[in-house]
Amino acid sequence: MSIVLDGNPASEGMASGLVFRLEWGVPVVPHRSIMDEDVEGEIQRFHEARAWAAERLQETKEATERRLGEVEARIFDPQLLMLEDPEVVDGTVRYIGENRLSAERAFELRMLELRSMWSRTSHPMVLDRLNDLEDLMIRVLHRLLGHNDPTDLAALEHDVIVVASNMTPSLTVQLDLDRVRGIATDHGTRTAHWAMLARSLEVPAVVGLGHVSSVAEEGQPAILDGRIGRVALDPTERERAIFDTRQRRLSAWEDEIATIASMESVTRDGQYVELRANLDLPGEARRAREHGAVGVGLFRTEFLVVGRNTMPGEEEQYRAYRDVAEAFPNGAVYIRTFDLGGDKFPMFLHMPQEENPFLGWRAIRVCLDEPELFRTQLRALLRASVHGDLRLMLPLVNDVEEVRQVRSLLQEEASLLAGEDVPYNTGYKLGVMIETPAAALDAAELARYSDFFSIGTNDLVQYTLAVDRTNTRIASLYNPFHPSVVRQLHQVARVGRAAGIEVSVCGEMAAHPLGAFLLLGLDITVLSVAWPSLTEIKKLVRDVRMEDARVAARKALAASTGREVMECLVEGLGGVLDLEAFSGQWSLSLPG
Amino acid sequence: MSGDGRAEKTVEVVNRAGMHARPAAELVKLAGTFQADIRLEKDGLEVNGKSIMGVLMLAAERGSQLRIVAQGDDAQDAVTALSALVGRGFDELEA
Repeated sequence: MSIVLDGNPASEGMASGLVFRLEWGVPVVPHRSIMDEDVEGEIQRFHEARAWAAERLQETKEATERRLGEVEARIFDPQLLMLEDPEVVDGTVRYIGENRLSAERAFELRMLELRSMWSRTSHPMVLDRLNDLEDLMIRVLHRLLGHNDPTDLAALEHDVIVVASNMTPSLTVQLDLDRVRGIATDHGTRTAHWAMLARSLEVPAVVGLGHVSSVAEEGQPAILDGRIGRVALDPTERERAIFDTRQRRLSAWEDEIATIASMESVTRDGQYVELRANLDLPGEARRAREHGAVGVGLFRTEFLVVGRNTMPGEEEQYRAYRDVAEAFPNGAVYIRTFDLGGDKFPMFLHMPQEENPFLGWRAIRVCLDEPELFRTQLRALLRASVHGDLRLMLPLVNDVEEVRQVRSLLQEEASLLAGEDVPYNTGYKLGVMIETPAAALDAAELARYSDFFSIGTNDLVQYTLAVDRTNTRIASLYNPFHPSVVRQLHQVARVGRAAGIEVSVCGEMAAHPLGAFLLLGLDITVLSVAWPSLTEIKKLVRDVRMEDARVAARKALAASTGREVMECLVEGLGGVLDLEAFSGQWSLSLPG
Repeated sequence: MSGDGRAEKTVEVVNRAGMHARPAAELVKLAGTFQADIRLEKDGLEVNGKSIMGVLMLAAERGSQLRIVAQGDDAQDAVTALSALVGRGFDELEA
């Protein structure tokens, strides 16, 4: 029996391989006393293990520097310093000598002591380094216990899918790219630092699978679809065939990408559909363009802060925004201001622990409370606006007051720039993301202060249905085709049209064939998706008729359940597309 | 440690991010170049200034008062050098 698990896409791409269970935990250390004459030998063993760990860290650091640059390589520095630390070294040596303990037992005790001292301070700055402390314990203890290095894949001769409870940045960059085809984890989010690194390394990943690490068996065949966030363990022949067909088709498209990219994005009855890309990193701009994106519908800026100790400077931001704007000389680039909080904690902000982080201090709320951080970003955006058609997009807006405040901050920064003779585009555009029912219901008010709307369906669905999509127990309740969602999309589209402003969608819904078909039917003809999905959505656009989509959407608006909505859409598509590969995403079973 | 020179000085942490991993590492490396025994104190918590584990534990944010105490022949030089490093914000470029 195969096991199919649905989680969230964290790094797009498809992969197949055997399960490699990465157990990155502190090993159990048996108690072992030693004789007086063994003391010197144990101390030597400890120093040998330290030297080994330092060498391995140094190698990894250098490899990381080559692959991802000097900044990312610095994540190994704290561990390297800890290996030389007198508190660690002298303390361990003392325990070996004074208490006649084995090297591993003495080291473990010393590290546990230091960890409890650290934990007492409970300061985020310190807690963040606990990961380093633990990583180091794991490395050195495995060595002293004579175990293999848990990350060592050198002995493997086949492709693997790494399965873990969660990953860390340092583990991710240590993976052997010749062997690792994909990563599947129980926890984590798309915006975790390690997930961003996986995207930079182009390793497909799916997160939030709930319990993949407890059900996956070592060496079991697995397939992973990082586009729809699905993992199948021990796939049946049928599932394997679906995967193979899909992968063949995708790689065939990849081969003729230049041709597909140059095809017009027009429905069979002549409606132009603007396809843009969602980017997490500036480096993805080139890939997006190759895949036919005419612009960037969502440029997430969190990469500038996640995993960083210091606030990103104006110059660094300016260059990142300018580079993306220049990559699309003929298209618009929508840059979302920092969407922090929730699951994204930059170290320098000292985010408080919250009971309900998704209902807490996040996104625009953080930005308005942290003027130093926000003003720097606004200045960098204004400066970059001279290099292209750059638009500013605010996340999680609930009411017009927030937009007004941002407008006045922008005016202040703009006049400061003018005073310094620094050029900026005086006709800059500012719009909002529609991500909460409050914004959707209040769209008419927001439209008076916004130059455009961009609907973020992931959050809109979560907030409308009061379903935390990372909670596996209620994952089946996360239904983007719920009638309440469809009605809000319809409402926002209508308000946008009446106000004469653009309405686009940049959530995952736009990358799903049924979702894209529904959006077209609601007359939303600007879609933004992760770049690997562009070809698939363009194929869909070219295969359907706008008129059929409108009819299906009208029926969907009258439906009383999510299932009925989907039935209307499947009927409307009329077998244009093989939906099988998508069946089960969001735990939805497609009507047959 | 060696010698009986003693020096101390209280300085304020001025860089925005505070004494996080990188500045702590800089401070520990610099402290390691002196003979003198070096202790750091913040709000009654005292740690070894030559230990990254200790220095990080202080969790010294911007605005915290840091007392540097050195004991040994080059105590005065150590305190001068270390307080200068903290005083110039660990050479972190501010936005």
